[in-house]
Amino acid sequence: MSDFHGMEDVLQDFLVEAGELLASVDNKLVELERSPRDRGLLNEIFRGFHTIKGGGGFLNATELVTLCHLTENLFDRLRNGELTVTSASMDVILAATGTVREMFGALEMGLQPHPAPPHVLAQLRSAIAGDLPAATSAPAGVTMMPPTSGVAAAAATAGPSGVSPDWEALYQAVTGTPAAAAAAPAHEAPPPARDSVPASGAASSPPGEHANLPPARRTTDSLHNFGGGGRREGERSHDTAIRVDISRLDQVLNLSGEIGLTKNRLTSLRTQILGGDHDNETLHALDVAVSQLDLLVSDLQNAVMKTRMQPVGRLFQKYPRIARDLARSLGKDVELVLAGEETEVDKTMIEDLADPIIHLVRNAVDHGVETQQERAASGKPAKSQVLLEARQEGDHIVITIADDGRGMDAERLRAKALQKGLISDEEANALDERQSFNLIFMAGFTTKDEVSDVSGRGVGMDVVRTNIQKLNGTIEVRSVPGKGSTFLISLPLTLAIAPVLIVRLGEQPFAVPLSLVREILPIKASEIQEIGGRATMVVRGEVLPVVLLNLLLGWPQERVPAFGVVMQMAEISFILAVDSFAGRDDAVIKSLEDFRPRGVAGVTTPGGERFGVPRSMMLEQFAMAA
Amino acid sequence: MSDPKLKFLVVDDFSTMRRIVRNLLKELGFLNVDEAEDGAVALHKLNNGAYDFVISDWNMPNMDGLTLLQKIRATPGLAHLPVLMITAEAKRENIIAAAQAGASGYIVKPFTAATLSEKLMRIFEKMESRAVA
Repeated sequence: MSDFHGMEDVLQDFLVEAGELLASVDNKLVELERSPRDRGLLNEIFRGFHTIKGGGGFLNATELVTLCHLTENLFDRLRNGELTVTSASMDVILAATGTVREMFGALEMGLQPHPAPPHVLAQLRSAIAGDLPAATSAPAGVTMMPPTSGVAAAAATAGPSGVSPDWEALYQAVTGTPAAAAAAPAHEAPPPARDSVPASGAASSPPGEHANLPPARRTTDSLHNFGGGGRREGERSHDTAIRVDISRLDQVLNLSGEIGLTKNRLTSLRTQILGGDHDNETLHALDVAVSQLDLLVSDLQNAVMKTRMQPVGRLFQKYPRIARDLARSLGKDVELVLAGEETEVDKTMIEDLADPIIHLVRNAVDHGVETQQERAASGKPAKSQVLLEARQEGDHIVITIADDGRGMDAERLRAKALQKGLISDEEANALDERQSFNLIFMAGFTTKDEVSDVSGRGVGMDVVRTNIQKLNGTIEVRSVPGKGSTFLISLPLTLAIAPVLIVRLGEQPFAVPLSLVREILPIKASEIQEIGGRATMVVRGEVLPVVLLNLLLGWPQERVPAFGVVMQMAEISFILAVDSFAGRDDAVIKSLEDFRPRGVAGVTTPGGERFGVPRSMMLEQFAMAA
Repeated sequence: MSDPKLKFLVVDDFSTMRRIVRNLLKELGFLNVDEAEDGAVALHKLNNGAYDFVISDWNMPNMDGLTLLQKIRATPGLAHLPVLMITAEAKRENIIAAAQAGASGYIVKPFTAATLSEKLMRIFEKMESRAVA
């Protein structure tokens, strides 16, 4: 059920592109608050609404066009210096931007957006008229450009103000001079009225479409409502469209072509060999062709992966606005500084990162940063900075969220966890500073005694960590009291293909991410020592906990494991004890949709075999307890 | 004059819009369409290739459509090119500015293939009558 039958492609394009545009407008609005007289900014925001309006017109999204048109008019007056940005007009603009986003939501569901709330439109109109409280007064009448004599005559024929200006008539009036480049012939008939559309865009929908809703339209209408509600509940599926640099697609095309050629070569070699041609030369040629194919296929895999990579800036864009809104509601002055926006991340990962990062940004603004009074008292600048940065480190992406706030107090965290019954007295005493910081990731942990609508429910950080771990990533926290806290998220470059180490438990192979493997060593029963009731082993002076894979999976132990894989996850190292190992492989991991055996994140089928992938989350929890 | 081989340059910073215009041109049988994302890129392309027709948006970063039009009219090799201006504005002062700068036509978003066709035909007729005269 779509209101856009036959236009789905254009609609998809529009949503992707206009969505980015709106996010960048949002960012510019945050900047605008800091420098309200920046003509360049005003111009860019104006152009953003203008472009969305233009695209919306082709989709017959009348309500979107109307709203954008009004907003654009306001910015037109702002950029021309007829009005100045005030906090009142800023609120109106932000409300309008939010409404535009809601309309995109309706479009995403294939529905025509509802009209903007009347008060938003009314406020926009009074802002344009300069009637908002506290807004600086502007020249009362809207002055059109001073008409020249010839133009004035033509303008008079152009009909009621703002409606259907007669291009040809104006044109003749203006270009009446022989010097004009392309004068219209005088005999030309005036164009049909449908050439022009009233500036408001209201007439672009078929008559009767929105005028009044007869009972017959109710069904559609309730569907509209249903659609809007559905999206708010977070039911929206991931975007299905992606923008790819043509040069990357060309590379895929080239490689496909070369693979085709190599396939032809193999086919002809096969005919030769089947025809009894077994000489060394033929076999050598076969060898060459196969290894060439090998190389090409792995190049192709890489090239295809690259088409999925998107600059993380598309994700970061929306955060300054969120940080600003939150800081404002808390009476704080916070600037979110973005860095490394050009860093590229797999598209699925970008979508799955959106929520964890929102949470960490909100957390930094709410918990991390002090109030202005506290900052003044401790001699810090009133404005606090939260840094959101992405960078690539080897085959990992590291995302940093750092604040310059009050930092965390390890002692207080331990006390809270103890009080909530999350850890025992003994455990609390055994935790060092870094481990204490990690307590915030435990389910049910919160340091706020009162639950606010922002945070304090204690359902946040553990969900953040779970989500990051689903992406095969890790999160850690560093903090210096009085200086601020830093969250570091480390993620693999891509989820689709992962180099893995194949280990065996009995006959069953399992894959573990190779990026976590430090080394492999034989285990002798005599080297395992019980420390504090847990099995440990000393490797070159380092005491490492030994974790049995079968225990992780909840399997019975049938024999003494012969090999240990030294794994490192962020700060934690441990030995994963297995029966044997079977080398490395590149695995395409498929997630298990409906059932989740313990410790298994998904399955992969290299070489026709089935492997389970021990889920890193399970391993890490175990290691922390060890 | 409505030769299907005519080479169009569609100038708009919003790629969705370029695609819409390209689709409309395709409906009209014009398949030879190139795109540019702003006036500066368009001018560079025009100076380095043979184009027969320019369809340009007005509001763009770097170089807007009006400036592009003025530059085209001021460049000896390009001055003859028909330029159709597209904008979301039906404002009189914009139309006047376009006319003064020498636009061959002006079209307001949104429009249909029929409208575009009509505008193009009128421009073709004009060009022919001038060529005869």
